[in-house]
Amino acid sequence: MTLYVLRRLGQTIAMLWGLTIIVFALLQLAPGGPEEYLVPNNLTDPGQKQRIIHQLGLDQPMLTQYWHWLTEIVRGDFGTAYSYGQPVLKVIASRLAPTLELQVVVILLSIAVAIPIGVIAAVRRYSGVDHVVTTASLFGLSMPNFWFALLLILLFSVKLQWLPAYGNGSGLLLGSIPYFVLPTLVLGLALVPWYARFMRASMIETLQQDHIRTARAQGISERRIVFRQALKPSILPVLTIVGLSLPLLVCGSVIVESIFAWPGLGRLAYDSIVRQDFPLVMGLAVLTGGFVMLANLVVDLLYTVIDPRVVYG
Amino acid sequence: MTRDVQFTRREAISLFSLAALTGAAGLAGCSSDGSSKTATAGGSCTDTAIKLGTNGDCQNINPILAVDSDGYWRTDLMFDPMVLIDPKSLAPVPNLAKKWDISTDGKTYTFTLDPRAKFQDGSPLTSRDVEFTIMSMLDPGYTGPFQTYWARLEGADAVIKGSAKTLPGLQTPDDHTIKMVLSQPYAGFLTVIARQLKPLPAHLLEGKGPLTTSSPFSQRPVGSGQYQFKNWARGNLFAADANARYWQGAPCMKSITQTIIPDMNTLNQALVSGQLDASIVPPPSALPQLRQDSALHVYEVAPQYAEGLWFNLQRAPFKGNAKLRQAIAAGVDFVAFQKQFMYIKDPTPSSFYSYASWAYDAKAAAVPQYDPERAKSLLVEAGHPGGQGVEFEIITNAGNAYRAQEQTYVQAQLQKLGLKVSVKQSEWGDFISSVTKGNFDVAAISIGSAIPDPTALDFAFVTNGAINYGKYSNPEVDRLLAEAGAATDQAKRKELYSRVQAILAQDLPLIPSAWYPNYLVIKKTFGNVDPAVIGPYWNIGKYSSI
Repeated sequence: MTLYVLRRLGQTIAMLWGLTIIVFALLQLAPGGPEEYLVPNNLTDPGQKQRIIHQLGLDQPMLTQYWHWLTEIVRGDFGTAYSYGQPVLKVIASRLAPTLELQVVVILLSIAVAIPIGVIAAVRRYSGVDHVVTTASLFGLSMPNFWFALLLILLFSVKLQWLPAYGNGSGLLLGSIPYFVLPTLVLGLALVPWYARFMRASMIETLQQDHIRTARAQGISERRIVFRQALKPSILPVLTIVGLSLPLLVCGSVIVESIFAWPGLGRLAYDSIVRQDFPLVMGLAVLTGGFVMLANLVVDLLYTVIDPRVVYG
Repeated sequence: MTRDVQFTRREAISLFSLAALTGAAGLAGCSSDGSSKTATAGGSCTDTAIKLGTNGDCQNINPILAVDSDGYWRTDLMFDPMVLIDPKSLAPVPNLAKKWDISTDGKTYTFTLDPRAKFQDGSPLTSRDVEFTIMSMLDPGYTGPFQTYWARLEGADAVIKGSAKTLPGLQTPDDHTIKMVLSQPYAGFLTVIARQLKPLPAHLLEGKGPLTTSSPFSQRPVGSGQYQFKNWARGNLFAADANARYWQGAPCMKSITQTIIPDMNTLNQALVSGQLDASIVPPPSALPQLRQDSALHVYEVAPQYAEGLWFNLQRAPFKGNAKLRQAIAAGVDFVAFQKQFMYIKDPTPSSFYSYASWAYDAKAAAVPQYDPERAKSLLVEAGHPGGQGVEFEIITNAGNAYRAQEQTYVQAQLQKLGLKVSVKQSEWGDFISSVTKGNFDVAAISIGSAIPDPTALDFAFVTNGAINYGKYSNPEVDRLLAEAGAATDQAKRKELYSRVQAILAQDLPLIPSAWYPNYLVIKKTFGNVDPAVIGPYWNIGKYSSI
C-alpha cells in the first residue's frame, strides 16, 4: 500500500508539471496580453503599455518566463497576481474559503438528499414514486442553472423578499444561512439527480445479487436487507461520482458565483483567464490540479476501507 | 460600470472614463421622469450609509496609478484633487488649490494651497507632497497613465529618461506655493491635468521606491480626502468611511460600500428588492421597469461617451473614400436603433463632441443622418453603385451586448444597400490588440466626450494620435486642434472646434453612432442627490437620509 501511495504521488508531480507546461503554452498562444487589461480603455500613452510589459517581465523570452516561474514555485513563491498586485497565494486563499463553504454544503446536502431518494426509487422500482424521481432528475439535469438562478432571485428576493439576491454574508455563520439557500438550490439541482440516479442503479443491481436472494430466503426483513446488506456495497459507485464532484470544492462554479456575486474561486479563475494574469492562472492550475489528483487518490484509498476486498499492491 | 447584461467588466468600468472630470452647462441632473433636476434637499446625516452596486472592480485605488472610472471615483473620495469642475459651468473651481494665477503667455501656473489641508493621519499637506506626486509620475519606472500629462512641464523629458532628478518646470518656493511651467501653453491644463492631480503623502512614501500596483500603499491608501479607506476585497467590495477630521468638514454620508455584482440581472434585481441603494449601471432593458418603481428615482444625465464605428483608413475599401463612409452613415438608422435597443427616449443627433460640451456645434457637426436614397447616391459617387465590390468586417469585443446588437443591425441595414458585411467578436485583449495594430476594417469602440475640455479628444483626431485607431490624418485638423489647444479665449477656441467638427463631418473617420446617457438609479430615501456630467456620484458626500 505504501508503495502504491508513493507511486501515485510521483505520478501526481509528473502530471502537475505537464499541466503547467500545457497551461503556460496556451496562455502564451492566446492573442493579446495581460498588459491590455492594465491600461486605460482609451490609452493615450503608448509608453505606459511598454513600461508595464517591462515591469512584468513580459518582454523576456517565453522559456525564460516559464523557467523563472518554475524555479520560484519550487521555492514556494507563486508570484504576484498582475491585476491584484497581491501574492497569488494570498489572492487564492481569500477566495478559497467562500468556495469551500458553499461547495461542502452543496455536496453534503446533495448526498443527504440523493441517497434516500435513490434508495426509495430502487426499492419501489417502476412505481409512481420512481417515475416522479426519474422525471424530477431529468428536469434537474436539463434546467440551465443560470436561468433557474435568476428565477429563484426573482421569486425569493424580489417578489417575496425572503432571501438576499447576492453575496455570501459573513461566511459559514448562522446569520449568513439565508445567503447560502439560493446558490445551494441551484448547484444542488444538478448534483442531486446525478447522485440519485447512480444510487438507484447501483441499489437495483445489488438487490439482484445472490446474497440478497439468500437473505430474503432466510426471512430477513426487506428493511434490514436494504439498509444492512445492500446499502453499503451500493454506495461504492456513488462514492466514485462524489469523488468526481470533489473538483468543485476548489473550482467552484463560474456561473453561479457570477450570478450570486459569490466571491469564490470560480469567478477568480474566469477573471484571471480572461485577463491573462499568468501568475494567477498558473497558481490556480497547480493548486486545483494538485487538489483534484490528491482527492482522487483519497477516494481510491477509501475504497479499501469500504470494501476490504479492494487491495492495492 | 455597464449598461447592458453582457458588457465585459472592462468595457463596463470604462464607460465613465474621466467621469469625475466633467461638467455640463445647463444639462446637469436631468431626470428621465421630468422631475426637478435636484433631489429633495435636507435630511439627516446621522448614521447614514449607502450601498452601491457595480459590475466591475477597478484596477487600482492609488491616484497616480488608477486607470478606470471606478478608480478615479474612489480616489476622488480618498484624495483631494487640486481643482474640481463646476457641474453647471464646466469651469475649474478651487479645492486643494484655493487660488491660482496664470501667466499671460499661458505657460506658468502658480497655485496656492489651502493651508488647512491635511492628510488623514493628521499631517499637513504641503507643496512638497505635490512635488513628490508629480515627480513620481515622471519617474522612468512609472507604470500609470498620467506621464504624458506631466511631460508637458519644462524639463520633464530629461526626468522621464532618467538623466535628471530635478524638474525646472516645477518649483515650490514655500510650503503652500507651487509653480508649474509648461513648455507649451495648454488650455486644458486646469480642467484635465490639474483635476487629476491628487497629492500623495510624501512623508509616508519617500525613499520607498517607485509606486506600483503591489506597493502596500496601493492596497491601503492614505489620502487627504473626505473619506478614508476601510476595506477592499478585490472583485467583491470596496468600503470607505467618512473622515471625521476632514479639513473641509466631515461629509454627511458616513459610510460608502460598493459591491461588485458581475451579473447585470442580479444587480438590477438587487436594486428592485432594496438590497442595494443605488447603481449607475442599469441594463437598458430594465429602464422601463425601474422608472415605474415607486421606491426608486431614475436620473438621466448628459452623456460622457459615444459608441463609434471606426473606419480603418489605411486599407480598402475606406482608404481615400470619404463618400463610401458617408454612404454607410446615411445607410444605417442609428436613431431607431437607440430607441429600440438602448431604450433611449430622445436620441441625440450623431456628433463628434458631446452635446454637453461647450465646443459642440450642432450645425457644423452634421454627420449624415439616415437617408437610404441619399446612401444609394453616395455609393454611386463612391464608385460602388449598388454596393458592388464593398466587403468588410466589423469587429468588437465579446460580452458587450449593445455592440453585438449594433453589429448585426448595421450588417442587416447595409446588406439592403448591397454591401457585404461580416461581424466578429473577440475577447477584449485580442480585440484591442487588433485595433491598436490596425488589423481591422471597422471597429466598434467608444469615443470620449470632450468634457470637460475638448482637448481630451485630440488624441482621436490628430495624426498619429494615441487613440486615432483608424489612422486618420488631416493637416488642417492637426493645425486647428493645436491652435485651439493653446488658445486661452474660449470664444476663439469654440470657433476653431466648430471648423474641426465641420471637417470631421465630411471626412468621417468614424461614425459616432450613439451618445448614451448616464443613468443613476437610487432609492428615494436619499436626499441631496444631484447627478451631473462630472459624475453621477460627484456630491455623494452630501447625500443624506430622508
